[in-house]
Amino acid sequence: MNQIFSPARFGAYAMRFVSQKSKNCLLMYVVVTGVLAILMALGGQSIDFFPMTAILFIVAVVEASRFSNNIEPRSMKIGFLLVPASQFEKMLASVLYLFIAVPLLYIVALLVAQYVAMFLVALFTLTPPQWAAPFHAVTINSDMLPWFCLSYYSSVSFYLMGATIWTRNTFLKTTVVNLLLGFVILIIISISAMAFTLQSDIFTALGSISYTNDNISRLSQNVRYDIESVFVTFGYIVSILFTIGYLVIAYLRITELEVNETKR
Amino acid sequence: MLKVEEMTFSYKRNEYLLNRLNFDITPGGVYGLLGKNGSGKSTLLYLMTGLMFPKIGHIYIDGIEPRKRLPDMLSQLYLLPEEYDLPATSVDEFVKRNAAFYPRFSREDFDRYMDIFDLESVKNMQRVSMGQKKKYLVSFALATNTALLFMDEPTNGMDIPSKSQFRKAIALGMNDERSIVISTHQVRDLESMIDRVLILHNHSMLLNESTLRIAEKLEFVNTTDKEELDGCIYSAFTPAGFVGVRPNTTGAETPVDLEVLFNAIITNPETITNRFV
Repeated sequence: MNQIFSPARFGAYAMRFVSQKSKNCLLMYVVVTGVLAILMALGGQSIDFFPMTAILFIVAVVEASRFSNNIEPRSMKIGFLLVPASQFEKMLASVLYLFIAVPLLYIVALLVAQYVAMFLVALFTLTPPQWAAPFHAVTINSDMLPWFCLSYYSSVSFYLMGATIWTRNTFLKTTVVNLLLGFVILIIISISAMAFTLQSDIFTALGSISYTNDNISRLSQNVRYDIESVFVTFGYIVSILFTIGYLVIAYLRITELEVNETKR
Repeated sequence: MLKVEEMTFSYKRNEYLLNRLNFDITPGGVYGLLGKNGSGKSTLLYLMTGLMFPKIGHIYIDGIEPRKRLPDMLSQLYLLPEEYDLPATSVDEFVKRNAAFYPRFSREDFDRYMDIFDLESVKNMQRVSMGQKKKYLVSFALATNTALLFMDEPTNGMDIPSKSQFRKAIALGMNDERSIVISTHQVRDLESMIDRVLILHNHSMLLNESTLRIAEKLEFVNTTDKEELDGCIYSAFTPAGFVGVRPNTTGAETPVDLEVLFNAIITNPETITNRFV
C-alpha cells in the first residue's frame, strides 16, 4: 500500500477525525449560528460583508490553532503520531477541514441564522415572520471576495503552522507573531511602493519632457494603474506562496515531531 | 523483527541516557523491560516506536526505521502509553474508528478481553475510572494482534484483581507471531509472565536474557535460615525471612525472582553479567 496516500486509509482517518471533532464542532457552530442570528436580527435582517467574514475568519483561525490539541498534552501527541496513517494524510485531513469544511459549515450556519433571525424579529415585533429567499440577508462584496479568500487561506495556514510550533497558548502566540510580521510586511510594502512610485514618476517625467501637460497627466494615470495592477498581482502571488510555505513548514514540523519524555 | 544497533540517545548534549544499546526483539516472547525510575525505559519504548529519534545508531522494524512512521509499519505495532486520553465516545465507536487501521484486529478477541476484565460497553469512555480506561485500552491493544505490542507501566492504576486479569489477558493474547514488551518497575506484576528480561541500568542494557537461561545460571534462595544464604551474590532481609541469589552450581532450576534479580544486578552488575558471558 502507498505509504504517502491511500484513499481507503485516508477515509478511515477522516472518519476518525470527524468522530473526534464532531461534538466540539457542533457546539461551536451552534454558538456561531446564534451570534449570526442576533447580528442579523439587530441589523434589519441582514449582515454586512465585513462582520460576516470577520466571524468566519475568527472561527477558522481558532480552529486552526486547535490543531495543537493533537500535539499537547503528550498523551495526545502519542495517539496522533502513532495512528497508522501517513503524516501527509493527517495533515491533509486538517487542511481539508479548515479550507473546505469550515467555510461550508459557516455557509450552513448563515442560512440557518437567517431564518432564526426572521423568527426572532417576528417574535419580538409580534408580527408574522416574513420568510425570504435563502441568503437574502447576506451581502457579498465581489471586489473584496478574492482578497478575502486569499487572506483566509493564508491566515488559516499561518495559524496551522503556529499550532505545530507553539503548542501551548497557540492562538495568542500565533496572533502576536502574526501582528508583528504583518507590521514588518506593511512597512516593507510601503517603502517599496513609495520607492517604486517615485522611480516610475521620474522615468515618466524624463521620458515626456517634450509632451504637453495633458499627455503627462494621462501617462501618470496609466503608470498609476499599472502600479496598482502590478501590486495586486504581486499580492496574490505572495499570498499563495506564503500559504504554501506555511503548509510546508507545518507538514515538516509534524514529520519531525518527537515526544519528549522529560517534559510533561 | 526489531533490531537495535549501537543506539545512543541523550536529552542533553554529552549526557547519555542510553548509550550504545544493541539488542533484538524476536517474535514469540514477552519481554520485561526493567529499570529504576529515570533509567530510560519509557524513552526506549518511544525510540522503538518512532516517537523519538536516536542520536546515534539505528533501530529497525523489519528493516525499516520506525522514525519514518510509515503507515504499514505503524499498523504492525501498538504502544500502550503510561498516560493516555480516551475520546468522549462509546466503546463501540472507539473500536469502529480505530480498528480500521489494524488489519489483524479481532472484535471477538476484544470482547473476550473485555470479559476477562469484567468490562461493559460504556457510552462514554471518558467517564470511567483510570483503571477502567486502562483495561479498555489493554483489551484494544491486545485485540489489534499487532506483531509488536509495547506497554508502558500497564498495571499502574489497576487494582489487585485487575492485575491477575491482566496476566490472564496477556497469556491469552500471546502467540508465536507477536512480541510483547512490557516496561515496568513493578516487577511482581510481571512474574510468571515474561520469557525474557531486559534490565536497563547506568545508560546501558545490563541484562538481556531469557528466564530459562537465568534459571540455569542463577539460583534464587528464599529461606528463613540466614546460613542458607552462603555463596549468595546478593541477599536481603524480608519480613518473611531472607532472599538471595547465587550462581547455580547444582543444575536444579528455581523460579526466577525478578525483584531479587533486579536488585542483585544493580548492586553487583559485573558479577551477575559475567555469569552470562
